[in-house]
Amino acid sequence: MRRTKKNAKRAAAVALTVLLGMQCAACAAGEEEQDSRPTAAEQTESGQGEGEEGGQEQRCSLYFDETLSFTWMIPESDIPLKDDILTLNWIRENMNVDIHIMAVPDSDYSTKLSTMAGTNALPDVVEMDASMMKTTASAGMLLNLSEHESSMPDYLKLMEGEERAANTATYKHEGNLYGFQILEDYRIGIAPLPVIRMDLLEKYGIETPASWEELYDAMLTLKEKDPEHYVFSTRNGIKYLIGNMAYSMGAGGYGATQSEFPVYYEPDEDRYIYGPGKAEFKNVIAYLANAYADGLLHQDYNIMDRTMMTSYLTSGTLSLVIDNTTFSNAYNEALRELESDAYFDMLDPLTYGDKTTARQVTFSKDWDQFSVISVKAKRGEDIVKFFNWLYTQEGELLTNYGVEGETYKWADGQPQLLDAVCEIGNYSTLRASYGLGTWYIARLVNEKTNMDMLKYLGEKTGDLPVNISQSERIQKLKEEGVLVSVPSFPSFSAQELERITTLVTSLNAVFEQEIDKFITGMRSMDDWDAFAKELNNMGGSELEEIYNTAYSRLK
Amino acid sequence: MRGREKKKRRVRGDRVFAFANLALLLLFTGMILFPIYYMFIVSISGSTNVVRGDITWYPQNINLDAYKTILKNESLGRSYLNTVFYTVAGTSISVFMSALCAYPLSRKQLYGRRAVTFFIIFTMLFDVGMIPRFLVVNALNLRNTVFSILLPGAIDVYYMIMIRTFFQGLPEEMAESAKMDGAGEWKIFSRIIVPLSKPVLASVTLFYAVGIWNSYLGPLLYLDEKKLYPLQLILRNIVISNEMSTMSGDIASMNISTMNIKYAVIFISILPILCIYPFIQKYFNKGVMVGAVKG
Amino acid sequence: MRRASNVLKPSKVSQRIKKNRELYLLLLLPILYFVVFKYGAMFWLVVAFEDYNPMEGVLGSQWVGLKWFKTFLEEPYFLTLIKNTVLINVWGLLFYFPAPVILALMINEVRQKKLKKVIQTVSYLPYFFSVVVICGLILNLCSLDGLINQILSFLGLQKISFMNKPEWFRPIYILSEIWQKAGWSSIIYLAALSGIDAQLYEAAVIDGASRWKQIIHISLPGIASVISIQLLLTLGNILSVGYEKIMLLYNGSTMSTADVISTYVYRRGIISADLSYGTAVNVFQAVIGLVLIILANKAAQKAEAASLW
Repeated sequence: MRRTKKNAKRAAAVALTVLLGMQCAACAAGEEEQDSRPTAAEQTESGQGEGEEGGQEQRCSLYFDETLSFTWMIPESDIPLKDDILTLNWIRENMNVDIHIMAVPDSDYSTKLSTMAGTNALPDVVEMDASMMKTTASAGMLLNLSEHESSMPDYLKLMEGEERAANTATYKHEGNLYGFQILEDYRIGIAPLPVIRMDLLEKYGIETPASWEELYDAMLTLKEKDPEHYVFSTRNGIKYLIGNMAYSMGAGGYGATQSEFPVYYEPDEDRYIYGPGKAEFKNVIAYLANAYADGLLHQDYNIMDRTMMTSYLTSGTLSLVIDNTTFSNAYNEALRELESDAYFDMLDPLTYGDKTTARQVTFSKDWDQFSVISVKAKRGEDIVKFFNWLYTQEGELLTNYGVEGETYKWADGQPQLLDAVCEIGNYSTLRASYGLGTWYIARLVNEKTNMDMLKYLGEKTGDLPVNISQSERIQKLKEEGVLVSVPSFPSFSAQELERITTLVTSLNAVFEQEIDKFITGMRSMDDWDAFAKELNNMGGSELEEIYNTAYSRLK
Repeated sequence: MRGREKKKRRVRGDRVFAFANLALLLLFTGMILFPIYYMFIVSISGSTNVVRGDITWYPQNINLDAYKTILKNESLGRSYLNTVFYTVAGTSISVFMSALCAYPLSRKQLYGRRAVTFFIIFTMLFDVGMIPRFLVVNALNLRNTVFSILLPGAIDVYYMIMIRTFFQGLPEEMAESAKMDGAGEWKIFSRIIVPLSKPVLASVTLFYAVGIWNSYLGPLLYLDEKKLYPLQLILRNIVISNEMSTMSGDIASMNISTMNIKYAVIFISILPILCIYPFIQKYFNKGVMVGAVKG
Repeated sequence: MRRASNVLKPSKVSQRIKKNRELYLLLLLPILYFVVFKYGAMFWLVVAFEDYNPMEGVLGSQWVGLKWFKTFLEEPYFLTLIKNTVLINVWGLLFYFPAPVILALMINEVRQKKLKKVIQTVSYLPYFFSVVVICGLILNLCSLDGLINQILSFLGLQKISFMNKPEWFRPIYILSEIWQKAGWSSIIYLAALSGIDAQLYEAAVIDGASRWKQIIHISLPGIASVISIQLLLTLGNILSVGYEKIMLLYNGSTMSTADVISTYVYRRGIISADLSYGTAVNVFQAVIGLVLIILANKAAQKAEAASLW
């Protein structure tokens, strides 16, 4: 079924539909030929009304005569993962692939993963980030996908296409591919930006802040009006918040886009820099230290997590958050119950100091998450075929939209969520109920479903969720070059990787141990320069060197 | 005369002493009970009152939303069942194995008794630590299976010794006369010794059961899959790591705060202990000493 | 076998063993358990002397001798870890250790039987709560919006972010230990107190001794031997702490006082999967622990108190 010759980027929605129609027809044909299993008959209810295009006989383009079963370890993030769910059941019936999802809570995931790798006990298929993938690949634990290229044409077409080829090269280990990356076909605009209570700004006559300094003054006013409460906080430690602010203040590293990694690409100097060691990094720390001293930053910021912070934001006790903009809808939904006209919306990227233009880093389109196959997995080749299928139009449709007639229908040649499904009203619940989208098994993610749902709700209530307008604004900011995607890291050798891991671990340990002291005032900001120097000497400079050497190889 | 004066003064002093003593003790028991009570009243109070910090002495806007939410949560329910299974199966294995180990060691005619006892006690003195323990479980392929919870801690040397000491205290003639009648050692053990040792076995059962019910480090190390997680791990994820995201939909829509949820979850997890506690107390007296030494 | 014994003159030992072979048979399963799980774990200590490579396994990994021990001892953080581990135990010795003794003496003075029973029952209760429950309670009660801060602000005092302050970590740790375990640990002292001859008290009353004096001169000396054994045992465990609790309570800001050897092992050995290094630290801790426990036991024996075993 290799009928998609065109680059996926150019595969416009209409083409997608046509192709899908053809594929489904093909499925139906295949079914007639083999017609041995009563799979479709079991799906009675689902296919009855809408079954013109083969809802009755949905057997898939990829079918294994002998049941392919494997265990797939996935972090359980915001939704519970189950084996007995629409998408996985469909795959079981129509592809003869029996997937057991091994759900590991997100907070334990990296620990579990590293111990599994440390004892050579990886399950058949595992989710991991690029650096872990390279480490385990160099240890010889992963199936080399490049040896199975003929089994993954659709994936290769996406990865080697002009849009992604450069990035793909950086994900290779010694020239070979080892994982199936999570790709985005369509994503709602997202950026780690300040999101603030706009109604409060209006109420107190505060102008919308355009710089970090103005934001600080605005926060002071908010605090003055409501001295009982703090203004903002962070989740999962201060590194996250620092990272979200650092780039726009002239440094970088950490944060939503880089998580634990302190090294970032500095376009001004065209080289990689160890963020905390850079002079501008002090701006962020000083800003936060002042905010802490002035009672703007929540005193418990250090032990706060997303749920806790959300409950503060939605109860009106915090009024600013610097986190993923896509969360704003959830805040607003809950906040409305408290105060009808209260709402959060994002600020455009803020300028800092004497710079007149703002800059902000955001997520790259594709994820730094890969599904890798263990060398010990049985029938590795077939698993490769299955994963390749997830990147076909058929796979994309199933993993994002679900099953025709049950979750979506065709309208104007486009897949569209059923109204009853849109009523769910919440992207997480949608994904949890049917096994769709991100953090489930979708590897080619299409968030149009979320957009459909938001629009449906907006039209119904006459109040469009802010995510829609934010998405447009973010798109525009990207075109203007204010918002840039985080560049991927250069490719490293095995020794370099090992050294990087060691350095980052020890540097982060020291950073974590000391950083709160600066923010809470236990250590004076006068000590900062000495501390930054210490970090650089401890390995910050060496890290930079490794990165830039690798980078120059790429150039 | 003077003697009586003195005695009077002493009696009064003793009264004051007894009163102060009792008052302090009651304060202490109050301090033990209050957090439990407080936890309960927060869990049933309205979320806005909780977030605002209104709740101190009595509940306000009483509702059971937090309990409804957590009872709906599948992983919590499953972990509860897992824990019940681990506790029942694990305690059975442990008590059986410990008694089985203790019996031969309690018999004087066992040659090499001291050597074997030392061989066993040495494992308690030389605590190899977390990583080697983990590596053994891993090497035996027990990782991520229920056996990783049931087997590694099957015999606790303290409790085994406690049983052995009790066995040693039993009159030897009974075993001897049974042997005369041609009974095998297994029969003596299972038909005579065990029925006579109910008090100590009951105490040990209690300790093992509480230990397994409460254990969290073993499961944290040995279990990878959420499906197998016991209650304590889910509890840790909710209460300590704040992993409430799978409930966040409910939190937003039902207007309950994370504080409500946390306290409700904690309360639900100690409920079985609070319920059976009054009934198991009587086992405390016999054989409890070793447990106290250990604690 | 029987015939063989007729030919060869059996030694006394083998005769004894043979006579009781059923007993050995019963012992088989438990011994197998100790061999597999306990001595099996000791076998894995070899990893500490290797650069463990999971693909090669324990037999194929490269031997590096004492490299990891050296790394650990030379690490600047080593001293902090030792200091924290010893300090939290010293705090325990100073503040936690006397608590059950005092509690037992106090409970012993209660004359109302029913009330005494109630107090005892309640004070044992928290011992049965899991460490996760206890830590969950601590974190919530001590949070900025928690009960303790509510009380502080009610009294007009400044709120304190307890769990973020390194200087508060040890007090909170020790206080919660007292809350949870003082009652339960007092059992052993209560038992010792009940063993004191009632005639001693009667004689003291006749001599006109007050209740306070009775405690000082009769009760306390009566349980002195138990106290000294307990004290020595505690000293023997000075390098091990209830790290499960610390793992649940500490965070980046309290690391400077809270991080102990075992939590470090968990972070390095499990979270970072540095198995050889983690095992080396385990070996270090186990060897010192063994020496200390043996010393403690020897001392306890010398103190004319009953031996541990």
